[in-house]
Amino acid sequence: MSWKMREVVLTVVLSIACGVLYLGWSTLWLPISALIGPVGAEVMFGVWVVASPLIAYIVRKPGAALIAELAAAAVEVFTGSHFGLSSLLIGFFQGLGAELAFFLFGYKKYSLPVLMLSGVLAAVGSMIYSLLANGFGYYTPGVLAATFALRIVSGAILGGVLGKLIAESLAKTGILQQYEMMRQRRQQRGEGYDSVSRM
Amino acid sequence: MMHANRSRLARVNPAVKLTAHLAVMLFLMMIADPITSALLWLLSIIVGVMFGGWTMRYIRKRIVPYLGFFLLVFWMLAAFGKGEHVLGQFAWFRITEEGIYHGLTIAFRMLGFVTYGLLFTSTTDTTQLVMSLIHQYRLSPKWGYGLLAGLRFVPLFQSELAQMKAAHKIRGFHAQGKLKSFARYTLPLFTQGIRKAERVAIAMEARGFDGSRNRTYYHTPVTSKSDYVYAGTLFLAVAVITAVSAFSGWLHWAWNE
Amino acid sequence: MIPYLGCNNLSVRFYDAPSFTLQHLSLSIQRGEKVLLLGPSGCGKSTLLSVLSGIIPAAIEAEVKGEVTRPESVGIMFQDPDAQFCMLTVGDEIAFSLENRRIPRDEMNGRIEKAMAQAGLSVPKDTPIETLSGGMKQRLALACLLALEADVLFFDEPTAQLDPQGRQDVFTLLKSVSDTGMTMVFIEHVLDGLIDWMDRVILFDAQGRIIGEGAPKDVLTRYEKEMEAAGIWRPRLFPHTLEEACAPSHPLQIGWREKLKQSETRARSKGAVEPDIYTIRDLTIGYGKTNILEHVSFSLRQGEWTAIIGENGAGKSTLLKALAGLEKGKHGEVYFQERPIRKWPAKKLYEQVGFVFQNPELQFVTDRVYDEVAFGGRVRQWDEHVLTDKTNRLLQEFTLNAHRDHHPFMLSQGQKRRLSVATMLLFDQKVLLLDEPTFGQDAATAAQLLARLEERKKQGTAIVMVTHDMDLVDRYADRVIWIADGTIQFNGAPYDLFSSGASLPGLMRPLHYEWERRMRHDACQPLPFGSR
Repeated sequence: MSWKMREVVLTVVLSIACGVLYLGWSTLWLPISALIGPVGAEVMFGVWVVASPLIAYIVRKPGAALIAELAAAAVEVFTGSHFGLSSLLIGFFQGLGAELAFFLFGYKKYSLPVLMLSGVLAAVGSMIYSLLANGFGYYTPGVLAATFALRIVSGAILGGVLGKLIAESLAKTGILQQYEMMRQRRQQRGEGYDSVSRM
Repeated sequence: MMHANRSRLARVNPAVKLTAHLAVMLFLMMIADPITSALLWLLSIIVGVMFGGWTMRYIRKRIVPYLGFFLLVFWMLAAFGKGEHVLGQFAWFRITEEGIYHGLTIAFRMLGFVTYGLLFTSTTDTTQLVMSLIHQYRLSPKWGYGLLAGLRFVPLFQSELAQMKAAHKIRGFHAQGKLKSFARYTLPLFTQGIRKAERVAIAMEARGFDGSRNRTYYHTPVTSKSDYVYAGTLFLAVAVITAVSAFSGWLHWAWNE
Repeated sequence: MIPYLGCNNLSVRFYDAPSFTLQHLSLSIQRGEKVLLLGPSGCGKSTLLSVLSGIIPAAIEAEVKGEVTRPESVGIMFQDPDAQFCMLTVGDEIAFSLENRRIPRDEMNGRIEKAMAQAGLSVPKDTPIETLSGGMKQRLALACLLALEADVLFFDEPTAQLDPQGRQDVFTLLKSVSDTGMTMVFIEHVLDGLIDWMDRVILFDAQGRIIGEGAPKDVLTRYEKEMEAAGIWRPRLFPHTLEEACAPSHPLQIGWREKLKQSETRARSKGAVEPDIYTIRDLTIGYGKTNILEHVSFSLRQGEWTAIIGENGAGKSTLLKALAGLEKGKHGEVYFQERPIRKWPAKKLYEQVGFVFQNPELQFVTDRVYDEVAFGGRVRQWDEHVLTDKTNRLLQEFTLNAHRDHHPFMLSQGQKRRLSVATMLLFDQKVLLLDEPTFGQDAATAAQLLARLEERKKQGTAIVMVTHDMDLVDRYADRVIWIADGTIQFNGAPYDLFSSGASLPGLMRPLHYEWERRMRHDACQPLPFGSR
């Protein structure tokens, strides 16, 4: 399954759009963290991983989730952000997790539970990174467990569910007609030019 | 976009530089004491000054603002981290000796990440980096050029976001809550983005781009001995610092708890 | 005989459309010919261009029946200057064309320089593309196409997003390219400066069928009625030239004289003096060391139609935003109804002031056209009957009733624009601020919108509009404010501005004023064309 150019550019552009939106989101992170510690900020986690289920849902190709996370992280590198390189590492761990969910279903199922699983596994991947890099192993078991739980839930909802919602509202505007997501839908309904023979 | 300054470091091949810095960052993740972490961070400052063309003024402008971040990270671990030797306690904050130790470690590590990151981004040009990934890391041109094409949208999205905030303010939308309005921004931004992305893809293909390696290149970054000398010297310095730290009894590895 | 470029019995259908966009179309284009495809919006010209150039089916999928012939290599210029490039600097972008052709590296610099010279790009190779103006970007796009050394060049509304000056520059440039014998196929809406050097014009009807073709002059005269009905912008001057038109009793002069008279009458009529609704005092807006606007002062009256004009980057949009309370000044003050605008609570302010953005999509907040118009009232918890009544009336007024249940994003550009204006009139705002409302629209859509605005103005709404269309300014505006270098160069009636003997750098007078100037100076020479 080779990627078409428009799928490549769509992946990059949507990941970048998410990246730009993240900038707005992350300004809230700092004061919240200082006040209630790492736990409170975890509620927002899902937004950071919304790019992968969103793009995988639209494009439906192996590697889409991982590439989306890396591309969103790459925005930080290429725009000269200080967090660039560490974003790359984070994106890699999160992306692997997100990708795993789709891999487990042979890249054939893209239902809501699978998307939520993608968000959950992205959270797991990010948790592993946090343990290794951010010293999360140094928090009390209580804090650790709470963080983990919140991150997983946030990943499922603000990542998986939100991703699907965004994709569906984009589909309603008619702009996604040429992508795999809508093609599969048309094939299921047995309509559209895909089932018409070409001369 | 990233632009390279005029320094020795700017001449190092981007892919080699990227690998070297990521490797040092991964190594930092294995160090679990504040002193070694701090020393490794200082190394990045020294490299910056000696090879990266950094002036004191530049450091003041770019690194010093992150001291706030440093304090935050330190505080989170000091007050919420696990430990037995409690130094002070109020409300749900619990400051321990171990917390302080770990807090300093992670804070210096984060500072190190930021500085090695800045060392990279201040001495590398965006286009050269992508070309280097295509040539040294065998990144497919489809993705390399696709990435460059997409990056051009960053300022566009930023200005559209500003316009949408203004438009929503006029329509009185913010009265409905920040989260809902945030979700509202995504639709026009993404729609516009997708439309333009398609046009870009069509334009690229219309100019004969097929994404394959069957093409010639205007920029062809190469690796040379000096690139590996840089990487090697960096690793050597890291090794020396670690050895000194081990010898002085400061060193702790992350897996020795 | 197989044509150099063309199609035979071509039919095209898109995957999600029940019917064919193009049906049984045949046409052929000779080598070295310059052809213009003309027709109403949505007739399928773009689809035809895409098929002829090979974009369909290579990059866009559709069902294609019939035969298409084209020479080996083609180049296409699109209308969105920003969505054609993939690199960051000028040199790299042109090199991209060469890389795709597998040109050896050592030949590249020479070819890049040659392409840049041909396209009139005299900037360093490492200039970032984002710093170029719209017109320069299209020059760069042309340079990239020239580097392809294509056999045919296609142009899909290349000047749609440029200001009048940029447009003329591009047309002049393309004319010089045509002199090299290049085969060129155009779709364009604004014809002055283009149509006179076309070899052939092909006219389409709304269903995508060819209703006429031939030399430009013939097509324009024979199909005048059809073109007007379809809302196609007609050239101001062609097929006449200004030289001819200066001769005594030329038919064009009747219309011009009439326009001049109307404009002068409006300028001189005093009428009841309305109170000021806006007073701007010594306003300076800027960031850091640079100032966009400096020491700007003026007043606007109720029920007045004001046009803000000037070159791109002069500060027009900034001024408009300041009137909407969206820009804060470094010093100076904007008074709305005698109160500083920053003291107005947002809710109250926007019940009086409406703002229509250049990109209508940016202000849509709901999923249905009906909800979009009703939104403001719902937020303020209006009585449902009142709201329904008002909303329906607005939908009727702006002919959007048929689309009331559609998603705003599915409307055409013209409909989206009408919708954005409609949403801003729910409260019968006293002031309507518009940022280039007729930009990129066909004649019919623009006229409709302007007619609605004029009605509103008669009911007392003050209209403030940023625009590039000088004919619009002359015809509708009571007052024109010309901004250059961050300051006001002129504030008064359009007639006084355009008929003044002074040179107006960066502005193109409407054609009837150019004629009047010639008459006054008694020297009739061919000139570059008027506005639009």
